[in-house]
Amino acid sequence: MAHPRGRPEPETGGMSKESKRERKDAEFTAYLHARQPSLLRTAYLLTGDRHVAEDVLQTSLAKLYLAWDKVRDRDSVDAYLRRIMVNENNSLWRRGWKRREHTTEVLPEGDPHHDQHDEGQGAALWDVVQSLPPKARAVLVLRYYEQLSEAETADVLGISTGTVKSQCSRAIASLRQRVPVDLHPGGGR
Amino acid sequence: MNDMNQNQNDESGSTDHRAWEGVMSTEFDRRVRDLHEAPFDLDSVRGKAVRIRRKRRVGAAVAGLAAAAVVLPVALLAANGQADEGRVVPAATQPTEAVDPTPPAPEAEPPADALYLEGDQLHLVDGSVTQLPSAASTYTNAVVQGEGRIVAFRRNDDGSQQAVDVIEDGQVVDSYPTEASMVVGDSGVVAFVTRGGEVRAIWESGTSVLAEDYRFWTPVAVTGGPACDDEDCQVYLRSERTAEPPVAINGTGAATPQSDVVSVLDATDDGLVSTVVDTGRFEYCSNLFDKGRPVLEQCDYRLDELSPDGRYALGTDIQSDGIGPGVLYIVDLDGAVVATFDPGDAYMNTYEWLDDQTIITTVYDFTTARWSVQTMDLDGTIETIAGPAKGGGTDPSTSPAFYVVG
Repeated sequence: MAHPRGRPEPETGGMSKESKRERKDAEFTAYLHARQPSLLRTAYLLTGDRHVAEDVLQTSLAKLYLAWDKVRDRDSVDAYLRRIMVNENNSLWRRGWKRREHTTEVLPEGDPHHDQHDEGQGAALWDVVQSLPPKARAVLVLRYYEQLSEAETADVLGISTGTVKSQCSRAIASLRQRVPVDLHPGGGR
Repeated sequence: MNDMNQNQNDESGSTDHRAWEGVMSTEFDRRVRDLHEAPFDLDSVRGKAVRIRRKRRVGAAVAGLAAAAVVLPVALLAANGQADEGRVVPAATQPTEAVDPTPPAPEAEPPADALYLEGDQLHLVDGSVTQLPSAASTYTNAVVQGEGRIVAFRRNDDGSQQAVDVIEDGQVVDSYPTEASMVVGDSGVVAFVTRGGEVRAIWESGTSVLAEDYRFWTPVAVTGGPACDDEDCQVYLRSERTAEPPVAINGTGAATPQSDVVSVLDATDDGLVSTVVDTGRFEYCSNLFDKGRPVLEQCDYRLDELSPDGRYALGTDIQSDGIGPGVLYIVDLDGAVVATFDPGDAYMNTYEWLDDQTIITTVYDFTTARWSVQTMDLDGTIETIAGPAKGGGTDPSTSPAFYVVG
């Protein structure tokens, strides 16, 4: 809201509004440098698409920037952003955004890794993950990529630990069914 | 199966589970191990932040228009009054009927005993019909104040003729041209701004000019009553032409600017007010005030609708944007979420309190392309009371209408 002319600036604890903004921007820039590649990786796993991942990440970072002063515990910034990314991805999915197709002439730089292994167990696993709705997929990414505990995962997603457990079990059951037996861990014994 | 075999199977199942977990971790790592880019600098993030902020403002305005688009064609009366003791504005109390899920809304069949306006006929809860005086413009809101007296707002299509009429025994006895609509408090007090800039309140036993020089200010809520001649009665106004903050004018005429308040969302008869507040830090919060004293300051939910007993708020994600909220929250006065309404791949068009314990909402499911009307209690129990039915598409104007009457 624009304040009426002549209205005194609010108290800011001895620091001018300009200085506060500069400090915020410096802190945020440092955060971007330190964490962005890792966040992009999480966004890619959540979305399964490099373009969508970048959109989700940019929007999430912008929302984090808007709320930066609110996140007083700097150790919890990643957790806060993870929550925004998950919500943003769910929201995009709701709006049907992901159903649009993206076309490109050039393979994006830094495209996720593929190797021979993808033809078997990895490809089957990725297919299962891709087929999941975004919330179920987020459970797997947070548990098995971010290595969050069940309780931490439940907290980020706003669901019960029981739901986290059941989603993980269901995904593993799908994997058992869809991955050829000779590619099961331990060779299907 | 004996215990030993059972234990062996459990152990083997658990080992297998862990093995698959390991496979998943390895595969996720492999998928992204070559991603090292940092595509965004501060400028691009900040630019996006500015667009989000602007969009939230526009979204709020569009939401208001959408509600009007649905409500006005069916001449549904304001949803913030009560229908007791002969007062007939629909209330957030008990549903009698509600719902024709077949859009578009203007074709919806009004419930037989509901209160609504149909042309210049005002249908009352007791089933009687009162003929309003013929006028060049259409009545869109009305409240009964005592025996035979009605205060009603009318406007024509382009808004060039708007007025609040006081009608007694079928005749207009007073008429006040206005720039904007009137608001009706839970107690039946009506407040509006005349075209000359007077802030006027009308209640069952009196009327008063609370302040002057408020032309181009729009009333957004009125609290207190049943008379508006003391400090408990507060009329909240929003400026349409300047960046001044909203102002609260009480029954004695004292005006209090609501510093940092961007808009007033809802108010109860007891003086609880829900607001949107600009923190000055590039973000909005939604705070509750009880007779001007802050009782809840939080930035997670936009507290759109207060329950009739003032114990809860119906909130939406304050960060959300787009066609409509995807999740509704019932939040208590400590800011804790009591229940969450999350229908999945869907959005909600209209939502309000049905009574102290229940919210009601129109829901569009993107997957099935169907509208429905659903309710949720404080304990999270969800019930579909109409639909799902096919509408004209995702557009809010195709949403079904519901009537909430006492």
